[in-house]
Amino acid sequence: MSGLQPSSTTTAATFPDDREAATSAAATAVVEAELRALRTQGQQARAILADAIRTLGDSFVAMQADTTAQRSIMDSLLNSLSDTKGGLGRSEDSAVTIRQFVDDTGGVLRQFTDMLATVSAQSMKTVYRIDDMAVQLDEVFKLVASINEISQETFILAVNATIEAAHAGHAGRTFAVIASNVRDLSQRTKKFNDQIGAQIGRAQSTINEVRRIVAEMASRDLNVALTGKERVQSMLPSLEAFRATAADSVANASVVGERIATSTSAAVTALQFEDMMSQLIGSMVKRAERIGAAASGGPPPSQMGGGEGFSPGEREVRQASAGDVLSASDPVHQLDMSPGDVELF
Amino acid sequence: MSHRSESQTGSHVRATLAGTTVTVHVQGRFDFNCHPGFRHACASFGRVREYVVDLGTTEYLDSSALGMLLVLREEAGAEHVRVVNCQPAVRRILEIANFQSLFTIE
Repeated sequence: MSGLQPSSTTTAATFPDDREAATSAAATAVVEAELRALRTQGQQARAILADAIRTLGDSFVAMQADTTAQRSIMDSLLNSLSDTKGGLGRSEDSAVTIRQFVDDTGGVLRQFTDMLATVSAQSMKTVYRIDDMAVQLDEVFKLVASINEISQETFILAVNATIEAAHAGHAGRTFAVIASNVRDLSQRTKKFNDQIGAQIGRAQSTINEVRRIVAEMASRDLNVALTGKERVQSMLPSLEAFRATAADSVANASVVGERIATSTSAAVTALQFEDMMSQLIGSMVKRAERIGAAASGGPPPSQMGGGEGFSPGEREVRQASAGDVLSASDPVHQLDMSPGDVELF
Repeated sequence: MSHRSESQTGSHVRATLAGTTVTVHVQGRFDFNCHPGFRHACASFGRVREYVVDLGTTEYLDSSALGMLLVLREEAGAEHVRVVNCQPAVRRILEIANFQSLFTIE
């Protein structure tokens, strides 16, 4: 409000007319009110700008930190995708690389099919031996049958001898006893023979059972197992191709991340425009004050309003430059944002 | 000279002797049921020098066929057994079982 005490009294004396002086005083008041408003708005603009720039700066710094974190994740991913095993102490590392997995799986599949073939060969050999054994048992069976025939014939012979002994009457009595003994022997032979035959029959059915089990082991349908093997085998190259592609992509992403880091740091540098803008706004307010002072013919603005809102330093600078030729007091000569050239006034 | 046998699943095993080479043809399914015929066919000419297993009319192989071939290879010697005329399906099974490294497959 001090601006309303017309410092123009010294100049007003030059005006002969009082009405003219009153009009001039009113005009000066308007100019000074506008100047105050301009100063306030300039400060608001600087505050808004500073706030926005701080937020921008914070988010760029956060972005830089995130980019660094992302790059380290990419690097470790690239390491695990890389097909080189050495160099990183991977030998004592329990982590399995995709390449190792592909190799190991291929090895396991080879072992699996080798084992399948070996088991089949051994089973077939066993089956051949069982077949041989069955043939041998058949031979034994035939021998038992021959013994049966003999005991049958012996039995008939004994029966005939008994009949002949009966014909001989008393004289054949002893012979009848012998014939009866022979008949008993043939019957015992037949009984043992039947038991042997039954045992052989059981052995044969056991052998057939064993053959059936081994046959089951030997004759596997290979299509399922081998189709599975084929599928896994065809998957391995695509897995390896995927690994290579993924490694390439991660490497590319890593490069992009580096570029983002560079751009972000360039943006952070560029944010220094706040200083320049702030100085420009300050300068614009100052110029307006000078224009006001010139128009009202009053003292320079530094003596006029007390410069509320400006820091003491700024006020000093303003006072020092008061009365300077306008172009010489431009605070910012810089036209670009290249770092290191910011000129503080 | 030839020998012929039929299995209960309708497969035929036929063997012919030419010089010192026995050629064994397996027609249809080469599976466990062929084993008596296959073994007999291989053994029916006594000691011969070369075995040719002709799979031109074989439609199917199971693991017992692989076993029979391996037993023949073991008994005759790897260099004396050739497997010929494989159809694509049969050849695929032999190759997946890695038989091309054990036999001469034509």
